[in-house]
Amino acid sequence: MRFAARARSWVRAVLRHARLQREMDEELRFHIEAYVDDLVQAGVPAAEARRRARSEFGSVDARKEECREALGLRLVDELTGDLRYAWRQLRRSPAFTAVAVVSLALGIGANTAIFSLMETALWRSIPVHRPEQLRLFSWVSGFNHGGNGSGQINRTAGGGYTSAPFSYPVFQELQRQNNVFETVFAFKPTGRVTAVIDGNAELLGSILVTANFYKGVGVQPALGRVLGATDASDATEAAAVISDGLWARRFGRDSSVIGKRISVNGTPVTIVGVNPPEFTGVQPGAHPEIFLPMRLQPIVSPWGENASVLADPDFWWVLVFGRLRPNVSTAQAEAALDVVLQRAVRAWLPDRIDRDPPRLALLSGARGLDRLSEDFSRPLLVLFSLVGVVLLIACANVANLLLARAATRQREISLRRALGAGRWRVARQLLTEGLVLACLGGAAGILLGYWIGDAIPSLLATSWTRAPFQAAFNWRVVGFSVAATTATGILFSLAPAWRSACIEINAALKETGRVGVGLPRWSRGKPLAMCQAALSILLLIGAGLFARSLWNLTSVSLGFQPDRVLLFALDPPRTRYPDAQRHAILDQLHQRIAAVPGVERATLSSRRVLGGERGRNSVHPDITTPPDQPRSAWFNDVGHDFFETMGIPILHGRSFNRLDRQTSQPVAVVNQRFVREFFPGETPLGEVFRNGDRILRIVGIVGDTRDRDLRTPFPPTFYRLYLQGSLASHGAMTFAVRTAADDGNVVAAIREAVRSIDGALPMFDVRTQNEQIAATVSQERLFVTLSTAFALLAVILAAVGVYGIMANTVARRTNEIGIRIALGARRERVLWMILREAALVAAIGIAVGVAAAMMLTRYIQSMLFGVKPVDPPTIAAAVLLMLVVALLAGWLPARRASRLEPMVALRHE
Amino acid sequence: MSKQADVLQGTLDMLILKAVSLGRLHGYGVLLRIQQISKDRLAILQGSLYPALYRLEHQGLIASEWGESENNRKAKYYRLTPAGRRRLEQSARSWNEMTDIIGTILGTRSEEV
Repeated sequence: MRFAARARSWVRAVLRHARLQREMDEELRFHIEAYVDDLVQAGVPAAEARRRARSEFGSVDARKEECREALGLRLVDELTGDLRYAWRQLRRSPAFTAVAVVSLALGIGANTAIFSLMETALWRSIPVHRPEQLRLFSWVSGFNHGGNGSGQINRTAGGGYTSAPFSYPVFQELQRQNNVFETVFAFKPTGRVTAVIDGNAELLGSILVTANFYKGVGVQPALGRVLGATDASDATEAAAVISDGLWARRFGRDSSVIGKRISVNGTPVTIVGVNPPEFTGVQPGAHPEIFLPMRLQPIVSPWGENASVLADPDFWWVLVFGRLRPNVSTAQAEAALDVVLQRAVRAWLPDRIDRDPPRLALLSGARGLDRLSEDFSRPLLVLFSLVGVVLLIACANVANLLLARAATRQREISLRRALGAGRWRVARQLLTEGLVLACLGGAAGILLGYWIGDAIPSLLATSWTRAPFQAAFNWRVVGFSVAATTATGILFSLAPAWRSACIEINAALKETGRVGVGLPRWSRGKPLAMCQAALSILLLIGAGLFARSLWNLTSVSLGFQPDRVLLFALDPPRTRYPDAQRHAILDQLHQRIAAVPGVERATLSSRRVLGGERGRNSVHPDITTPPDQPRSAWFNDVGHDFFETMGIPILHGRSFNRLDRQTSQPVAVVNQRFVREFFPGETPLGEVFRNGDRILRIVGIVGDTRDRDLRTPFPPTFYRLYLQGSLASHGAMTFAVRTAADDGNVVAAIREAVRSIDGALPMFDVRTQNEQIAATVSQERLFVTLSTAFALLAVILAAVGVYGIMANTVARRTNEIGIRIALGARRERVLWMILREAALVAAIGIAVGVAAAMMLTRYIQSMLFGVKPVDPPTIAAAVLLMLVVALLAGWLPARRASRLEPMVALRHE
Repeated sequence: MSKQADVLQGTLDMLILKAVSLGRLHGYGVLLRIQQISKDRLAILQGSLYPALYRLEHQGLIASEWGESENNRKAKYYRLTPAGRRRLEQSARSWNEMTDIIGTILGTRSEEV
């Protein structure tokens, strides 16, 4: 109780500072005046009464201070005093303050920026109600997963497979027989659909959701209604909910958007609602713009012969979420639903004896369907380490500056100590100064981080794709930055504060302003400069490795000629171009585009070359016996002129020609790796192989090309003619056009040609092949850019550090150097003496840095290409650069020392 | 002025509590009341009065409010809180006990031992 009363009184005193002051003044004044009155009444003359009252009361200010102390305000008063003093000190040396604040702002800003990226890419939950209750359904099976479907499949450690998607009937069974989840709902990100809004065709990111999806995620619409049970029926026209982004971008936030009819892949759809701005779907980084009911799957994303896979129990594509009931553990839920899955698999897929039955596994759903953390956790951790090193260097830099300043303030500090200030009291004063500095730097850094947070992922964006994710700036990020600021503040104030505590008062006061005498050698800042050199060398080696990797990547042989090749995509919707009409419209577009002036050759393919896609298909060179083990190769469905347009050399046989048609024998062109793998030692022209249910005859052998990205070695690849492919195929086709010259007019002409065939067919993802290749190394380029920038910053800071130390040394040893010169030391020798010292500091730092680098670089091995983690040339270059910079930084003070006039130097203090 | 006794170390708090227990007082009033009751035999250093008042208020033993003085001036008045009353009783008890013991000791003559 007593404690509570004190705490209340203390808080009141701190918060109502001004009022307390005023009341205290008033109370004490009343006392003196009342006393004066009494004295006057007792017959004392007024002037004498006033004098006596004052003198008996003593110093009003001292009384007030005692009163404040009685209220427990001493610490607060001292702190305010320290803060005021610190602020005055910083204001008095603006250059020092500016350098310190800028280096801290850079360090803390970079850390804030990377942390805000980690927040979105690795940690932040999806914006739904109580995300921690969500579970993502997935299955695990042995080697023979035997599944057909759509979605990412990963290998398990035990050689089996694991994946998230289920077939729609299996999902319905899981939903029906569940008693452990409040809701079980499903969705499928379906990429881009062609939407016609007010007569203009455009592409929208889409997602299919089940009727209970919105109930499951617990999201309320910003406008209109969300999708519900009524939308599951085929009787009504399809409804859609649009994202806040699309509402703003396309409809200017006009509420009349509700009830608007648009067409999606040629099918009419009514907009019934708008999502709240914070709800961007259930996949971090993805921002679908239109949410459509699941029954539109055959229109939005047709698969197979009859487009619909809603009734197919063995096509695994839909992603399932469940919201766990309270008091049900994940293990219980998993066991309960595994039974349902086993029963469904046995009931519906009886004929697949080659299948290892899948087991149900529940994953955390708090991050939704998370691909980001998988892709970016290592790069972001590496970046975070880099910026951590930058912050340490900034810390060392500020500590160095503070040390140098503390040296000049030694007399002041000694005086304070001599006047009775305790060691801790003086150290606390210096710590306060450090924290004030850190707060200034931290505040600037948080602002900087806020600004540059989004700049980093946007380096990964291209003209045709958006950044994979955006920075999240929330209380956690700010909390981290504040913590980092405080930690750095304490860290870099430690050395000066410790040093102030070590000062011998008498010795220091007797010193006539000469600095640094009587202190242990280590506290003069050399270890800090060594740390800076070590950390800089670490960053230099890292940057060197990244740069060499990027160089190696961009100089790998591609196997084709990317110059003057223009790419774009067209996606004739299957609703308007079913079956054979799709091939017909594509062929028509191909021929029209090839005839555009300025176009030398044109072709099309189902997969982009170097587009980062994976695509393998089964291959069995022996068509007479059933395959005993699955073998596969990369494939691409291409049009005529593909090899000629891309500049891939035809080594044997021929390319596809106009005689190859839907009705003629299916043919294939294969690359050299394919030959080596499936027909070793032969030239298999005229040979056949089995590809699924088709037999393909090899008519040509072409050179190897990179396919998925620049890192993957040339893969064995076979090419099929898309015109001979399945009529059920779908998806966008990438057109490649070799132009006569690099000029943008061709794009306009091609756009016109496409419009003349179908005005509602948007041409999208327009870019050159070289831009496409550059995009595959955008992450590597990002690393080179950032690590080089950080390394340069580090080297500059280290140079400043070495310069500061050596300048200090020369200033301290002015007398001694003067004596040496007076006694006949040659000036070159003096120069070398100082330079040697600078080189020694750098060399020790470099040795530590190289050792650390050799231990640490193996953690980035997977990000390197064509270079070993311990790469002697990189290390040598980094060491050389650091040494040269250190010597240059040491040279200025060394030259000053060598030019000292002995007489001046000897008189120096 | 006649010879005055100095306030014993640690007893100032108790005296202040006693003074305000007789009715609310401003700081100067506390001084006057102690002098009046002690018939001017006890002198309190004016400077030490206010820190003591603030300390007692900080501990929740007395409470303050602004009011008007006898000659219509604004003054800060202190009064005893229930916690202060308990403290006063406790201090008075131990003080009496102590003076009793010390008085007994000091009053002892050699033949009584």
